[in-house]
Amino acid sequence: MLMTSHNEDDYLKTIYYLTEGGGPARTQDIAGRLGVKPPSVTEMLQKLSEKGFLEYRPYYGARLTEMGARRAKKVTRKHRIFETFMGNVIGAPPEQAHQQACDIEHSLSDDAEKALCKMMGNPSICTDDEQPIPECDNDCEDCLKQDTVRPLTELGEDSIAVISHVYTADRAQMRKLVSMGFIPDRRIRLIEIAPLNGPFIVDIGDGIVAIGREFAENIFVEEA
Amino acid sequence: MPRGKGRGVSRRQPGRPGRGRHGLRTRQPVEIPLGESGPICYCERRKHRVEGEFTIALAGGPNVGKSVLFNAITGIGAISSNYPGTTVEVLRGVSNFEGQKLRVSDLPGTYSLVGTSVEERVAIRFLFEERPDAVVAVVDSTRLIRNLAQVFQLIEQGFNVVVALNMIDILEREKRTIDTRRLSQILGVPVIPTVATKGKGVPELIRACIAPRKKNSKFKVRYDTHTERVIGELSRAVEEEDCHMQARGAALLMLERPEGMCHNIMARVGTRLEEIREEFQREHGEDIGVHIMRDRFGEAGKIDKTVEVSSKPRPPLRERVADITLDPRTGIPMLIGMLMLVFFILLVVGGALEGILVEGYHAVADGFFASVESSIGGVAGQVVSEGVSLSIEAVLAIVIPYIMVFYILLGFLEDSGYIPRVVTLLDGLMHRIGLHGGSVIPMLVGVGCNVPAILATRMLNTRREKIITATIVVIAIPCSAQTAIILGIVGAHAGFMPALFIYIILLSLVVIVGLVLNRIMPKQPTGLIMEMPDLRWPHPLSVLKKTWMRMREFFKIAFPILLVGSILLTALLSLGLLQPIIEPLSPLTEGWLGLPPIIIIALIFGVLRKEMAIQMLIVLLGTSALETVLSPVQLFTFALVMAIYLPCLATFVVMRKEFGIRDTMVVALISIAVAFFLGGVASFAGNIFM
Repeated sequence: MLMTSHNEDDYLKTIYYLTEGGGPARTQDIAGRLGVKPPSVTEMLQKLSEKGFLEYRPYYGARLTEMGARRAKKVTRKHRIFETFMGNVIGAPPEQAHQQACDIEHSLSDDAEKALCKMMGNPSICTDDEQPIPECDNDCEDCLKQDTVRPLTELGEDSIAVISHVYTADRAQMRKLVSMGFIPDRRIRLIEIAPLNGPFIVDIGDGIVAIGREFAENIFVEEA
Repeated sequence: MPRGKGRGVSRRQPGRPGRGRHGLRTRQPVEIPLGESGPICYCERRKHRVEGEFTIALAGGPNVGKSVLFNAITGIGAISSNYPGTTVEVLRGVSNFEGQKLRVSDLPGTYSLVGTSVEERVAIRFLFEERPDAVVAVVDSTRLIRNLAQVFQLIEQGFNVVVALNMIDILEREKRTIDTRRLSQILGVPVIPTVATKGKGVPELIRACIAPRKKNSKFKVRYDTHTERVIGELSRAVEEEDCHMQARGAALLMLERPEGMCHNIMARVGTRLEEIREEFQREHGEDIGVHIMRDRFGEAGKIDKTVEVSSKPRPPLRERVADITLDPRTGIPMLIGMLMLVFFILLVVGGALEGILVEGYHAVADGFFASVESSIGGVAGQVVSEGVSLSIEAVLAIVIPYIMVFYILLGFLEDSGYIPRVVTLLDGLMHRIGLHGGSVIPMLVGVGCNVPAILATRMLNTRREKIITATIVVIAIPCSAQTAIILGIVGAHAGFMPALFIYIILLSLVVIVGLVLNRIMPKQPTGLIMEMPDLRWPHPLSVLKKTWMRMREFFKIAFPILLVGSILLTALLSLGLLQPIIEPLSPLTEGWLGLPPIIIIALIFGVLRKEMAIQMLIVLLGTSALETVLSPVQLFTFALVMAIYLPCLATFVVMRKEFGIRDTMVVALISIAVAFFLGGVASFAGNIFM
C-alpha cells in the first residue's frame, strides 16, 4: 500500500467523514473542515486521485475508492479509538482528547491500536460526538480467540487463572477492585457463580471474595 | 477556607466527658455527615483536644476484629460485625488505662484509605480532621498481604501507627508464625500480637500506643522511578504550601485520590497533577493510583515472605475445601433451613419467655398500679397508670421475648461470618428487583423489628436503594409484633394453614413491591464486592455485649414513643374519643373489609401500638375466644391488614429522620392503600370460597 503523509491522511479522513452520509465530498466543505483554501484542496484532490485513493470530478466532488476508503477508515479508527481512550481511561477533556488523537492517528501502530481496542473491550462508539468507530479489518472473534486474555466472566467454574489486567472507565470501581487485591499477576480461581446470575465467587489467594458481574467483566485473566 | 453549606461539615454532638463511677462509658455513635461533591480540605484541624486525654483510632478491614478490639479496650463498647458497614459511623468510647485517660474511636472497616466508598470517606476524613494521637492498624494476621497495604498508607500519611497483629490464635492453629520483631523492624513501628476475642495483648497494645515515640517511622514503600520522580515533584509543591500534611503523604494522596485534596494545594498544582497523571497513563498504560496500589501489594508480598513462616505449606488454590455454605446446591437449602430455625426459635423461646414474664408481671404489678390509679384519681389516674403499665407490659411481652431473642440470634449469625454468604446467595434475586445484595440485611433485621431495620439501610449505597429497601421492610416484612398478631390471631383461632398463607402473601409482596418500585425508579444497583470471612464459632460474650448495646439503642428510641403511645391510647379509649369515627368509617370496615365496625379502633391503635392489637380485639369484642365472634375469613383479613399497613409510630419516627417527612408519608400512604386493598380482596375471595 502506498504510504500517505499526515496531510494526505487528514484529507482522506475528512472525505470519509463527509461522505459517510452517501453523497460526494464537495471542495468547499473539505476546505472548510481542514481550514485551507479551495485551490489547495483541488490540488491535493488531484494528487490523491492520481495515487488511486479517490475519484475526483470538478464541481462534483470527491469520492473515495476502495483503497482510499480503507486507508481513511483505518486512520479514523485509530483517531477515534485513541480519542475514546483519552476520554474514558484518562478522563481528558474532549478538546484535548481530540487534539492528541489528531496527532497520534498517523503514527499509532496497528499493534497499539489493537491493544487499546482489546483493553477497552472493543468499543463501538467514540466518546467525542458519539461517532461510530469504524470496524477493524480483523475479525473480532479471531482477535479475541488469538488472545488468551479474556474477562473473568468467560472463565469456567473451578478453573484457575492469572490476572492480566484490570480495566474499567470507572476509576472508583477500579480503585475498589485493586484495593481488594485484584491486581495483575495474582492467581485467581473462580469457585462458582451465585444463583440467578448472581455474583462471581472467587478465591484470590488470601481470601474468598464475591464480586458482581459488572466488576467481574472488568477483570481480565489468562488461563494458567 | 470556604466552609459552609454544601461542604458537609463534620459536626460532633455535644458530649459529656466520661464522668461517673467507672470512667467506662460509651457515648452515642456519632455520625459524620459526608462531603457532597467538593473536595474536603484535609488541612482543617479541629482543635478539640482535651488535655490529659490520649486519643486512639482503630483502623482496618471489616473482618479483622477491629470492633472486638474496641470492645476489649473500652469495656462495654461497640457492635462487632463481620459484614461491612452495619452503620457507617465512628464509634467512640472512653477508657482508663493505668491512670491514663483514653478516648478510643472505632473507624468503619476499610481496606484502603483512598477509595470513594462511604466507609473510606468517613475513615479518612476522621483521621485527618481529628488527628488522633495514635492509630492502631488492626491487621488480620492470617491475611497479612492484603492488610498491609493500608498500614503502608497510614505510615505514609505520618500517623503514629501501632500495628495490632490480630487473630494470632488462628494463625497458630494454621501452624504459621509471623516474626513480629522483624516486622516491627521493617515497618519502623511497634507490632503487637493480639487475640481480641480473648483480650490478649490489649494492655501491651495500649502501652505501645501511649509510649512516647522517639522518632517517626522511616519506612517507605519504594515505588518505581517514574512514580518516585512524580512524588518528589509534588512533595516539593506541598512543602511550599506549608500545609499541615506530610509532604510525601500528601503527594501520594493527590495521585491516588485527587478529588479529595485540599483546595489550597489543588489550586497550586491541580493542572500539573492532571498532566502528570496523563503522562503516566500514556507511558505505562495504567492509572497511577492503581499502579501505586500494585506496588504496595508487591512490597507487602516481599515483607510477607520475609516475616512469615509456615511449617505446613498452604494448600494451592485448587485444593481449598469448597465452602458448602456458598455452593448454591447446599447453600440455598442451608439458608432456608437457617431462616426457618430462626423463626422457630423466636416462636418457641420467645413465646415461652413472654408467658413467664407477662404472668409474673401481672402478679407483681397489678396491685401497684391499682393503687397509683386510685391515688391520682379520676380519668387522669386511669390514663397514667394504665398507660405506664401497658408500656412496661409491652417491653415484657414483645421487646424482651422477641426482639431481644432476635438480636441474640442475629448476633450469632453475624459473628459466625454467615451473613456475607446470605448476601451473596441472594444478590442475584435482589438484582432482579433492582437492589443490591446488601438489602437483604435490613430485611432480615426487619423480622425482629422495623426500627433497627430502617437504621440498617444506612449501609446501602444510594438513596434509591435505601428507600426501596425501607418500603419493602415496612410493607412486606412482618416484625415480631406483626408475627405475634398473625400467629396469635390467625394461627391460634383459625388454624395453621391460613397463618402460613399470610406469610406466603407477604413473601410475594416483597418481590412484587420490589419489582414495582424498580419499575418506577429504574436504575442499576451498585455492584457487589464483598469479602467472605472465614466461618468461625461466635464468641458468646461478644454476642451478648452486642445485644446489650443494641437493646440500649432500641430503648432510647422506642421506649419514649411506646410510653406516649400507650398513654394516648388509654386516654382515647377512656374518654371515648374514638366512638364518633366508628360510624363514618363503617363502609370501609364493614363494607369493604367485612369486619365489625368497631374493629376500626383496633386498626387505628395498630399505629400506636401494633402489638396491642390482640389485647385490643379481646377488649373490643368482649371475649378472648375470638373465633366465636369473628369468622376465619375475618380473622385472616384483620391480620393481613395489620401485617401490611402503616409502620408503627417508632418506625415512622425513624423513617422521618432518615428519609424526610415527604417520602415517609408516601410510604405510609402506599402501605395503607396496599393493606386495605388486599384486605378487601381477601375478604371477598374468602367469603366466596368458604
